[in-house]
Parts: sequence; structure tokens; C-alpha cells
Amino acid sequence: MNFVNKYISQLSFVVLIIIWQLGVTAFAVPEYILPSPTSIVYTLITNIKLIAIHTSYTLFEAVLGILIAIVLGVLSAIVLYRYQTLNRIFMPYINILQTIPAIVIAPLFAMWFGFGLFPKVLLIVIFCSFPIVVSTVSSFSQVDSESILYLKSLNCNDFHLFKHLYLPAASKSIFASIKISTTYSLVNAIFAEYMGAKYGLGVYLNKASSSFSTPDVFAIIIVIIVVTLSLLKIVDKIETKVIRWD
Amino acid sequence: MNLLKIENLAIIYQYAYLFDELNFSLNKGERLVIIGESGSGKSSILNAIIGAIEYEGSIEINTDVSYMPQSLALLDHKTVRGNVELPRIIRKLEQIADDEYNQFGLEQYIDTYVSKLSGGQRQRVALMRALYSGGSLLLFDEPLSKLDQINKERMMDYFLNHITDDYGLVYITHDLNEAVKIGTKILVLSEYPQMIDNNLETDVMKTLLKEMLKTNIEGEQDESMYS
Repeated sequence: MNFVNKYISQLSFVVLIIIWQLGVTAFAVPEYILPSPTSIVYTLITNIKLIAIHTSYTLFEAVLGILIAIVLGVLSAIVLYRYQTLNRIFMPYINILQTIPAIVIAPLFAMWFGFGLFPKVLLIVIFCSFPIVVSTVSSFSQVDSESILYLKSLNCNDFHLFKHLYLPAASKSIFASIKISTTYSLVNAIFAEYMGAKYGLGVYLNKASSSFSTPDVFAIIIVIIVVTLSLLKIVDKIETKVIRWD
Repeated sequence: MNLLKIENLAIIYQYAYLFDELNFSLNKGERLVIIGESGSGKSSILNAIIGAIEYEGSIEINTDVSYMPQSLALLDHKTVRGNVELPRIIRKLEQIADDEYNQFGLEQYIDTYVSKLSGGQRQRVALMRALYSGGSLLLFDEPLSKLDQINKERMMDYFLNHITDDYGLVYITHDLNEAVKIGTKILVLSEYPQMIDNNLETDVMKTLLKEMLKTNIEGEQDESMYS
């Protein structure tokens, strides 16, 4: 009983896969409608080399984008918090831009900047930096006022204030927003590739869906899930290393 | 030279003077306790000294200050050493030796994050940080208000043992016991602030302070009746 309790989520996943496999076989569901799990795994193994090449392109764009987004997001948050006038000017635009879906912006960027690396990374940077900026600015404003007064009583400058107080105090929120942005990064990279590219999971997905190769589409879904979870795991590891006081 | 000299200090809060023409000075070895009801402006004096609020009059400070607020303002993301060294890093002072932590009973917690410490240990870290921050003017804003009576007594003794004649202390409280035990002089804050030397016998002093505070409260009540 203890074993079942401990591994309940893993067991439920196995049961779901078995039901899926049996259901598809029993009702003879055509592969282009819903492929069986074994068919998806077979496709994944058969095309692993090609999928790996496409994944490497998408991963590169996503990681480059998220890294730039983190630096840009945190720096922008510092500037917007430090200079309230800039905050009042730019924060409304940031909030408005957040509401525009990436699928609307991606074709525009393709028209403006072509089909190279730049428009794809730009799309990721823009959509991944918003959550970081908004969350970081908000957590800066929740920093303990007595700690701020204490540091100001030491006549410390802005560099010391942000280094010793604001950034560490906001680090949990920053990491939470980085996790959200990390999941966005891969999705946005795929969106951008979908609009036009030579390589990437978006390109592979486009080809697979237009040729009704449903097992390939599902194989890509598995790859996206695995890559995203791996990226989140890396962020988790870095967070544990950075936030040691918790 | 005075560590601190305040002349004609007036602080305005919500369009009204909390007090005006407040004058006092502080030398090394002196411990000034400021006592008064809530809202009388006790913390505002400290905030004016550290430059956090606007004021009228003049405040002359001839040393670096060390401020300890009610919450202690320890940085939970830093270790004991990180907290104690912080003002020294900002003021570009040398790192202090590990032995110094012994006299505060913190030697085994030097590399422990302060978030993991007990209330009493945190108080000691805050006190050590204040004493080693490179300044001689200590500004304590009700640092013991969150402790129970036994721990309060214990920490007061601890403060008095460690705050030597090298320091001047401005200490804010609304607790008469603390005021009488810690202060060498006491500023009773009211519409007409009064400075008194704490050289009377403890009980007499407490009665006197009680009377002074009571008068102020009654005064305020009388005024509000006519307003």
C-alpha cells in the first residue's frame, strides 16, 4: 500500500499509457488520428538523429534567448525601480505588450528581420523578459523598509543597495519568473521557426503536420516536454546553489 | 566634540508639528533614552538623524552612525559574518577576527545564516553589528520590544555590559523599566519635550516618568474636548 502511495503519479502514468495502447489497438484507430504509444516511441527511435539535429537548433535559440532575457529583464527592473519616472513611462507599455500573443508578433518579425537567428532570439527575449521585469520590480517594492533604512543609514550607494539587499531579497521571485520564462522560451522558439526556418523543432513540426505524420507530431511533443523539464531542472539546481539561506 | 548635536529640531507629520525646538546633544559614554507615547515622534527623531525624513533645524553628527531598528534589519540571506561585516564592507574597514565573535557567544554560528538563529541570537548579532560598524553613535529603535520580560532583562544587561564609554547611545522605548535601566539621561517626548537626568532612585524615577507621561495624555484629552 505504501509503495502505491509513494509512486501514485508514476503508476497512474503507466496505467494511462496501457489504456491508450489497448484502446487504440482494440478500436483500430487510424494512426493519423491517434497513434499508439509504441508507434510514437518507434518513430522517435527511428528518427532520433534528425530530431536531435532539429532539437539542437531550437535549444540553442531558446537558451540564448532566455539568457539574454534574464540579464535584460533584471537590469531593466533595476532601472525601472530606481527611476520611478521611467517606470511610469514604460511600465504601461510592458503590461500592454504582454497581452499580445507571440503568434501575432512572430510573422511580423519574420517580415521585418527575415528567417535567420536574430528574429527568433528577439521574439524569445521579448516574451521571456516581460515576466522577469514585472515580477522583479514588484518584489523590489516589497523589500523590508527597515532593512532599506538600515542600509541607507550606512550612507551606502545604489550599487551596494541592490547587491546586498534588493537582488538577494527578490531572488526567489526572480527565479520563479525565470521558470515561467524558461517554459515560454521553447514554445516561442518553435513559434518563430514555424514562421520560417531551415532547422528547428518548429520546422520539423510543420513538415510532420502537413504530411499527416501524427506519430512524428507526438514524438516532437515528447521531446518538447523532456527538453522543457530538463531546462527547468537546471534552473532548479542553480536556484538551490544561489539561494542557500532558505 | 559632541557625537551628536541637535538644535531647534522640528518635525512635521501630516501638516502638524510633532514637536518643535527640540535641543539636545550626546557625548561618548552617554546613553539617552527617548520615551513617549505611540505617535509622539520618537522614531521620527532617529529617522531625521539618519536622513530618512525631512525636518527643520540642525542635526550635527560627528561620527558614523549605527542604526538598529525594531525589526533588527538583519539580512536573512547573509550569514552571521555577512551581517556583521556588511557595514564594514560599505565603510571600507578591515575584516574583524573570528575571536571577536566569542564575546557575543556567536563563535559557533559565524557561518550560519541568520534566518536559522533564535530570537536572542539574532539580537546579539544585531548588537555586534552595531558595535563593530565603525561608528560611535548607536541609534536603537525599540530593539527589545518583541521580547518577553525575562529575555528583555537579559538583553538589557547584555547591552549595558557591551556598550562601553566609547559609544554614545540614543535608545527609543515606551517601556519605563527599559528607560530607567538603560538611560543616563531621559528625554520625555511630548508637546513640550523635557530632558531629565536619570540619577534618582529607580522607583522614584519610574513614578516621575509615569506622572510626566500621564500629564501629557490628559493634556491631549483636554485639548480634544474643546476641538
